[in-house]
This record gives sequence, structure tokens and C-alpha cells, in this order.
Amino acid sequence: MTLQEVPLLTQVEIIALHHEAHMKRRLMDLGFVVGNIVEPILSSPSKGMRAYIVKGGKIALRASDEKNIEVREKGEFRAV
Amino acid sequence: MLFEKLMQMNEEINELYEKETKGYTIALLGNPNVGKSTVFNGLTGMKQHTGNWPGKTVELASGTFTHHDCIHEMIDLPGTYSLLAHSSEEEVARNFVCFEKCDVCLVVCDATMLERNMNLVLQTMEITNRVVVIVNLMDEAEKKHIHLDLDKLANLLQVEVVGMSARNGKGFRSLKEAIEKTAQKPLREWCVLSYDAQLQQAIERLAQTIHAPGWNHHFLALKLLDPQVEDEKFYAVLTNKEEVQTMVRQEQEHLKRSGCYEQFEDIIVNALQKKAKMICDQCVKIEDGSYLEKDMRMDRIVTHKVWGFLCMIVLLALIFWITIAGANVPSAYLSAFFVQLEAWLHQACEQLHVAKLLEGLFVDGMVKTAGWVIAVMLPPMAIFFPLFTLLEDFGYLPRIAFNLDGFFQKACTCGKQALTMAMGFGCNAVGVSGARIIDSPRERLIAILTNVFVPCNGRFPTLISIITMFFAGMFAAPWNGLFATLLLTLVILFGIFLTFLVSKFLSKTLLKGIPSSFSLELPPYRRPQFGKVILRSIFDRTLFVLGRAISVALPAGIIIWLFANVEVQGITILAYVSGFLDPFAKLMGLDGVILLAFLLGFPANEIVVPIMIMAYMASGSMNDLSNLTLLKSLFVDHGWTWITAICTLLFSLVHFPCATTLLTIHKETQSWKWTWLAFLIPTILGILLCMSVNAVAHLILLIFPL
Repeated sequence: MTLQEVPLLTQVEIIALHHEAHMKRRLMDLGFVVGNIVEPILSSPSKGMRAYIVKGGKIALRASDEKNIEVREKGEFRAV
Repeated sequence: MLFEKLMQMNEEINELYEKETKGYTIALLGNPNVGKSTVFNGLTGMKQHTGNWPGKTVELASGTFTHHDCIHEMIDLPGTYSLLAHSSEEEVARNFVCFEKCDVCLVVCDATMLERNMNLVLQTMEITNRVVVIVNLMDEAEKKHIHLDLDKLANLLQVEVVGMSARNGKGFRSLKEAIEKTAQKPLREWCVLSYDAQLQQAIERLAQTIHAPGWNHHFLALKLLDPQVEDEKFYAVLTNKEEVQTMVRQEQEHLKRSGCYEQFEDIIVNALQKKAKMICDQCVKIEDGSYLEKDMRMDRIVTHKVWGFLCMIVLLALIFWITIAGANVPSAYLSAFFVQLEAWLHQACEQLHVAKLLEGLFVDGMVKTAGWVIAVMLPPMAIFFPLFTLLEDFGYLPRIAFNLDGFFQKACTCGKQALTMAMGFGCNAVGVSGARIIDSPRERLIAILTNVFVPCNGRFPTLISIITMFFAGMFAAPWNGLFATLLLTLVILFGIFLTFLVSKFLSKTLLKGIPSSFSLELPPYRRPQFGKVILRSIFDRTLFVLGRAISVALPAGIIIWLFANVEVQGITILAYVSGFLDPFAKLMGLDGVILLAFLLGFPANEIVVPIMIMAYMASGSMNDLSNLTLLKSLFVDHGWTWITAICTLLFSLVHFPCATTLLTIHKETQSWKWTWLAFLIPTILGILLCMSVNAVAHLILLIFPL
């Protein structure tokens, strides 16, 4: 499923990023890398943006970018 | 004998001088938001502001500090997440570290987010081994029960690691010693990462053929093979360029066949992340994962559907109310001071038998205008800026961008525009240059063109004085202060609304495009350093206003006085020009004097009201400018009604940007076309708005005569 479909406060693991090169690089720099755990925590009141906890930091992404991140439910190990 | 002795002494002095001034060149890198500028300020003592939201440092700053009698130079590079050079900031940082002579590179990390910061550390260590890793915000890590084994980290990385709490002044001594130690290190043993087998072998083979003294051959090989890197600069450091070029092409063919070529940078980033994780797993222990809870509670309120927006509006209104209410008393004192000063100067001129022309020019022109600017602009600025800075340092501003991004998406622009607008409140020119935090050129241009719809500190006095004179006077204190604040907030909300409207319009016409991808970091909330911020802000702002008063108000005062007192064929120049503008101005609900005041206020918006006062007074006399009741009667005597007040407020909000802002726009856009548009769009919009409001108001008066 895509990151956009994940309900708030559910931890998931990234399995793929389908963005174009520039955005992909930026996302990877911020911690959105295949194998990492992310958790959506906030939803913008004006719709269209959500914030995630990733690698100890909070990053907000637009819906158009959330759609391109493929995730699956977290495995047994909890990595922060 | 004596002569030789003197020569010897001269030699020794020269040597000492050489030693003393030969310091190191130190580069300062780090992710945005890690306290890099705090470290910089702490070492160099410079007053570079540190805001708590990403992208604040957009230009290189340099400073010096002394240690062991040597003067070292420090360059603060823009905050970046990596050196893979895809944005202009990353390119600047990477080029500096690679190609400028740096003796030591300091990489500042956030102790609460070490793994992510490690990315930059490892990339820097591939280029040079003279690196000092600064783990900043150790006090935050302690509060969040995150334990870091810095000795282990130093061991794994084989570099000096210094734990710091820069904003509390801790760690600077160890840092200076670490810099000293690192600068003496021999240049070898760079950080080596292990990439995918295919890529690794290609790098090894290429590295062997490269001749480049003093460089990490593996790093060079990596850059030359990378399809996304512009390689001329790297080729320039080789001594055997042609040979290497052939090898590079060969290897790239190999990689294409094995499928690594397209995924080149993905492979690099994966390797970096793996190594970073491995290192941090050994050095960082998080006692319990709930350290993000406290921030979360705050964020849940601040981004709530209802409370979030309420919070924003209330905060805005609160800041304005404190500014207006707090500025009253100091303004009155300053005004009284200048009235006294002018009276005293007039007396002095009488006694010294100064020519009437000079007396008028100096006292009634220069001193009066400068006096107004200081009395009216200094107190609000000295209150507003510190308050705003505290909010910035706290970390609230990115939350505003987060809350409003949905609206910005509908206007086809970037949420970071909220941040440039916030900057624009202080000064439109700052808002325009701050637009560099927006990556997409199209969206950056929209942010630049619409920044003028946010009233800057220079326009506040105009807005506040007119609102207080014409609308809040109905109530008694303290309600009138509250009412004035509400009205000011309304005016500003209207300006924000216009920003969205015009942004959307531009997105559909001149600057067509779709909303782009972007990421926004929400930094942890940090307690601002109240004392330091307030003191530094007040000091900065006072200097700034005084500077403006001298550089703009004094010459403007001369020109206005000349306009008002030089007569051509029996009419003053002022009367002539304002008479000429009058018919058109009346259509807009203004009058010739008001329009002329706006035109003459082109260099700086804060002189608009003094020009109006002076123009009206040319045909009357009034000494006390601080008394708003008297001022109001002056205006009313010249035909002002509530319609005039509204139209003046509107035009003040929506008219051409000031000269400084236009110059900055030209500098940022490098285009006369866009600078002209930046001038024309708000002016035409302002004229149309005023005309419509004027027409509607008169219509209402016809139907309901007051």
C-alpha cells in the first residue's frame, strides 16, 4: 500500500520510492529509505499534507509525494 | 652594531607577525536546524541571527576568532542534508569543501537525530579527513534520555568528536582544542564506504589510474563516474586528465551493462545510510521512545482543525496588540523630545543669525522628518521584532507553513511561502531574498511578486496611525487599543487573502504550473534564549531604524521641504504637483497630497505620513505631531472622511514595493521584466481596489446619507 493510505499513528516499513530523481534524493537524505520505519503523526487542517516521524525527526510531505512511497506493515523489530 | 641589532629586531617582529596572523580556514557544515549558527556566533561573536526553521542561512557568512594567538577564519556554509549537490546550497557547500583551501571542516550534528546527520559527516569525510564532528544540543538529548557514547563515535570515525551545548556556551574550549589537533593531522586515511560490488570494483580500478596529489582517489573516482556530477572541476585537479577520461568512459559502459549506472546515486545513498546506521547503533542508546510525546501534545493543538487556526490568528493579534499598546508611551516621549529639539534648534538658529532658508531646510525639513521616523518607527520595531524572533526561535513558524500548505496548494504555490510572508512582516526586502528557501523557480517568483501584500514594519506606522485616528478614537482606552489591534489584524488578513488570490492568478496566467513536491521539516520545540534574543534584537533594530532615519529620512526631508517652500509663479512645487494629481486621486478616494506622499515615499514607506503632514501644514501651522487628535483635525480640515481613511489604508497595503525591495527583486530575479511586473501588479491592483471601494462607499452614502 502507499504511505497515503496508512492511518495516523501506525508504524510502517518502506519498501519502495517511486519519485523522480531529485525528490527521491531529498527524501532519502531525510531518512525515507527502503527498510526504514516511518509513522504518520499529524494531518494538516488545510488538507493535503501530513507529518511523519522518521529517524527521530518530523518531516511533512504533500499527498502527491505520499502516494509514491510504497510501504508495508512493520515487522517484528522496532528500529527508531 | 646598533643598525644590525635593529635589522634583527625587524626580522623577528616580521616573523612574529606572520605567525600571529597565519590562522586556519575553517568550514562549518551541518543539517539545517542543528544550531550551526549558534556555534558560529559563539566562536566569532558575530550577530548572525539564528532562526529555528530550515533554510534560514541562505548566504555564506564569515567571521574570525582567536586561539593561541592565531586568528582563524571561519566560513558558515548553508545548511544542507547532503553534499550530493542537487540544490544550489548543496553545490555551494560541496564546492567549498572540495575546492577552497579548508584546513578543518566542522560538521555540526543534532544529538537527538544523529543517524540522519551522520550522512553529511560521512560524505564530508570522504573528501577530507581533517574533520571535527560536533554533537550539538547535548542538553536536549539529556532531557530526552538519549545517551551518546562520544568516545566510541570518535573511535569508529577516527576523528575528533566534541559534545556541545552551544546555546548554553558549553563545549567551546574543547572545540578549539579539537580544531587545533585536527589541523595538524596528516592528509590521508579518508573514510571509505563499501558500495555494491560492481560499483566498488569500478571505483577501485579507476582510483588506481588517477594522479591527484592530496586528494582521496576513491572520492574522485566516485565523482567522475557519477552521471549526475558536472566533472570539469574534478578533472581540473588531475594531472593526467585524458588518460583518466578514457578509463571513466570505459567503466561507465561496464556499469551501464550491469545496470548500476541508472541507480548510481541510489547506491551511494544506500551505502551511506547503512554505514550511518551501523555507527549509530553502536553509539546511541534511546532509553525510551516516548521522548517525542511532549512535542506531540503541542503539535496536536497547533495543527488542529479549529484550535490551530485560532492559535495562529490569536498569536498574530497578540503580537500586534503588544506592539501597538507597548509603543504608545515610548513614542510619546520620543516625539516630545524631538519637539523640544526643534524648538531649541530654532532658538539656536535665531541667535546665530542663520539664513531662514537654511533654518527651514535643516530644522523643519531634515530634523522634523528624521524625528518622526524615529519616534514613530523605533518603538514598534523594537517590540515587534524581538517578539517575532522569539516565535521563530521557538520553532512555531514551520507549523504555520504546515497548517496553510493546503491553501497554498490550491493557489498552486509552495507552503514555504508562508515563511517568506512572515519574513515580509519585518521587511519586504528580507522576505524577497528569503524566497530562496523555495526550490521551484516558478513558485519562488510567485512568492517574490506577492511579498508586497504583507505590510512591512515601515508601513505599520501609517496603518496604525490612520486606524487609531479615524476608527479607534470612538472608544475610550484601553478598548481603543484593542479595537485598533482588531482592525490592523483584519487589514493584514486581507493582505494575506490578496496574496493567495494573486498567487492563484499568477499560477494560471503568467507563471503557469502545477504544485511541486517539497518536504518541510518540523523542528523540535526549543526554549528561546529570551534575554539574548531580546537584547540583540532591540539593539539591531535600534541601529537599523537610526540608520534608515539618517540615510532616507534626512534627504527626503530636504526634498519635501523644498517642494513645500519653493515657489514657482506663486505656487509651491508641492501644491502644483498635488493639484495635478488631484483629479485622478479623487477617483481613488484619495487626494493629490496623499497620492504625492505615496509617490515620494518610494524610497521608504515610513515617510509617507510625514510628507502628508508637512504638505498640509504648508498651508497652516502645527507643532505637536504626537497628538493624534490634533493630527486628525489637520487631516479633516483638508477634506479627509472615513472613506479617505479606508482608501488610504488600502493603498498603503496594496501599492508598489519600496525602492530597496525592488532592488532586491532585481537582484534575485536578474530580470527587468519581473521587476517591472513587481512594480505594476500591486500598483494597478491598488488603484482598482481604491476606485471600487470609493465608488461603493459613495453609493452607500447616496442611499443612506449620513
